[in-house]
Amino acid sequence: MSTGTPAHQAPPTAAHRPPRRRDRALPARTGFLLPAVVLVTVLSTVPFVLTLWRSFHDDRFVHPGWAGVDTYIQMLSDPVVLRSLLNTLFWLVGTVVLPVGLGLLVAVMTERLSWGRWARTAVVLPYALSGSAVAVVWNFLLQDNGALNSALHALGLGAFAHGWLLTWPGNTVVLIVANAWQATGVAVILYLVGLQGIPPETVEAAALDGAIGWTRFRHIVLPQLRGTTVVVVGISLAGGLKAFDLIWVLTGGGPGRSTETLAVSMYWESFVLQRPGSGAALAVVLTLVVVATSVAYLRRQLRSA
Amino acid sequence: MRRRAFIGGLGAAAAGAALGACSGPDSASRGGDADFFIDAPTWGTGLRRAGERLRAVTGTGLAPQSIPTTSSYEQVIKSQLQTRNPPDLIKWGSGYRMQDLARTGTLAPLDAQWARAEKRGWLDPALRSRFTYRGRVYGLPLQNGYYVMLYNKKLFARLGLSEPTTWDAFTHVLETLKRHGTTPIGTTQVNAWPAAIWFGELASKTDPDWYRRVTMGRASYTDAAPRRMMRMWQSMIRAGYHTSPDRSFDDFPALLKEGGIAMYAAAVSWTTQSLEAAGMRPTTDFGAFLLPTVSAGTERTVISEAAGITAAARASGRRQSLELLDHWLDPDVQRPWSSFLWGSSANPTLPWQEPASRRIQREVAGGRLRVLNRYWEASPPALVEGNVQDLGGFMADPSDPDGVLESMQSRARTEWEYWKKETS
Repeated sequence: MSTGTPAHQAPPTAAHRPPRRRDRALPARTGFLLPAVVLVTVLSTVPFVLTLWRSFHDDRFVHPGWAGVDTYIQMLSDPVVLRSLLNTLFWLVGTVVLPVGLGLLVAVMTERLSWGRWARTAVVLPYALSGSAVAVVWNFLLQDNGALNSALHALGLGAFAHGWLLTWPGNTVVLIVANAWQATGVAVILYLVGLQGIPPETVEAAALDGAIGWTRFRHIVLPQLRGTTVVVVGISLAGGLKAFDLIWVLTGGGPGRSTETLAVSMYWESFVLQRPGSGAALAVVLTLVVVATSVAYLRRQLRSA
Repeated sequence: MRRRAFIGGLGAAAAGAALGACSGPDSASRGGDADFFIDAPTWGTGLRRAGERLRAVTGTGLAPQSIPTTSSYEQVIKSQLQTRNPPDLIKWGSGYRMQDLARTGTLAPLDAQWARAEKRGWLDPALRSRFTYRGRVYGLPLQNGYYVMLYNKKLFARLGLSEPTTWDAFTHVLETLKRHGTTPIGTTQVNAWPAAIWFGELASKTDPDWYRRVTMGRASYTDAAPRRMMRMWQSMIRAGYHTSPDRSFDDFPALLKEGGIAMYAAAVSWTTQSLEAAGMRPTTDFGAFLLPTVSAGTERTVISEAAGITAAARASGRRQSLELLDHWLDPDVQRPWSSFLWGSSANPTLPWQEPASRRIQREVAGGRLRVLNRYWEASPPALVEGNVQDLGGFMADPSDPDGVLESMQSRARTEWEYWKKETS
């Protein structure tokens, strides 16, 4: 069924258009749109343009001078920033793979179990905690004299005990795991909703055709969770790129700035070192990474949908 | 219509609340006490006691507001000073920390207050340079103290150890403690700044002249003295003489009490408060000694920390704050404050109670001990912040001491150039 203009029906010309009605609707439409437009302009577009402008100027607070791309060149030749960029990529991969994989696993494994709700509650509960609280809890766990090393010693596995937060890249990996512990909860909830939305007939038909276990999950259930996966991956990507509070409270970006991501480096330059030009340049780079990742992901998903 | 009225009312209430929030803090301008932002939560009681004396003289007392971690504190203050309603009074580091804040133009000059205090004999004029930027004073000393090694006396006595006065004796103490299962020295890089403490101690006891020159940008971090020092630090870390660098500095008093560590470097007199809070009694449970020089002929020095009390230029209660600061160093005001800190008052007419700091004070006055500024305040903040991160990295992975020094020197070159350009 075509939704286009029927061939026999000529499009309305300016003379035939009902101008009054349209004009009357215009102020109302503008009125409805205006708050959103103003909010986006004031809170998002203007700060972005100002940040972009600031990133091409030096670090002076008052009357900053034009620096062109010098700040960017200097920043991208700084090994700390390069490692921060690499850590951000680790976070991107880790925060997608772990919460999505674990969330799907927990949702599928516990969906039909009588005690499943308790298992799910245990996984979902950390999602209600703030990032700072999670950092404090994981600090007790990961310190050199923390619970993890104590447990390893108690189990006779003392050889595996070490300073989990002290050496790169291991410290970045454990930070990502700590983040996944918190973020998996929302993935579980979304996948449970997705699983409940799968028509039982499709699963029953597959069972009649002899598809069981992994084959049924792989070919019947998983494709029907595609929409849910798009949302979960999107949320995880956003969570990974904005990761700050957990890192800042748990390691402060250290030791030796080894656990910084771009968001932490931006904070470091802007507020610790008070370098507004460098901080703005990092903010622009972070924005580019976020936009590039989001656009690439969404275009791919929308195209295939 | 009712819904519109409700939404309208809600909007008006929100706008009213927002305007109310923008109207400013309850500060000295409204006849209350002056807001005094500090990063030491336990000092509130002592400051309130001093504030009572100030209120009797000026009509304005002190209302301490605490933000615990140093990095958060510094960022909050720097941001608040840019607003129209900054806090009335602010605790801030001396030296380059003070200069860094003063150059933003957000602090009120205190030349008149300093001059009057100095004229009355309430101040040591030698401290002036630590609070001066471009010839103007921007802070009065809040307290003044010295870095010592605080140690567990009972543990030392049980192992037959005494306060070391030479580096060999210190090494013997370390070896003995380690042999008996105690981590000798509490050091950490958590919250960044504690890494500067041990660096400062070790550097000033290895080559005090190099330490003084490098903090002024007149020596290199890659000189022979720091290379020797870092190799020594590396061997100490590898020998297990230091705590894991992920311990919190705030844990050290409790660790000292239970014998988890035998000593740590901290400032007296005020740190003794934390030890007493942990249940240790002075003279019987804990003592203090100056870290010996690495070589016998090296000049004896002590690291000093002087924090400042500053006034925000744009604070609504600025007039009352300046009047209050006129009396801050008055012996009547300083007495309860010094009594609370066990000494450390910047007013030289007040005796210090805490034995170790009193002993050091006498030695400094007698010219037998040279005073050096703490590393945290002794160079431009951006340089120190970056170098302290490098040192924290070294504490976690001591495999490349020369690489750390080269990184510090590279930063020193760019940051000194930046600082000179910014302040010229």
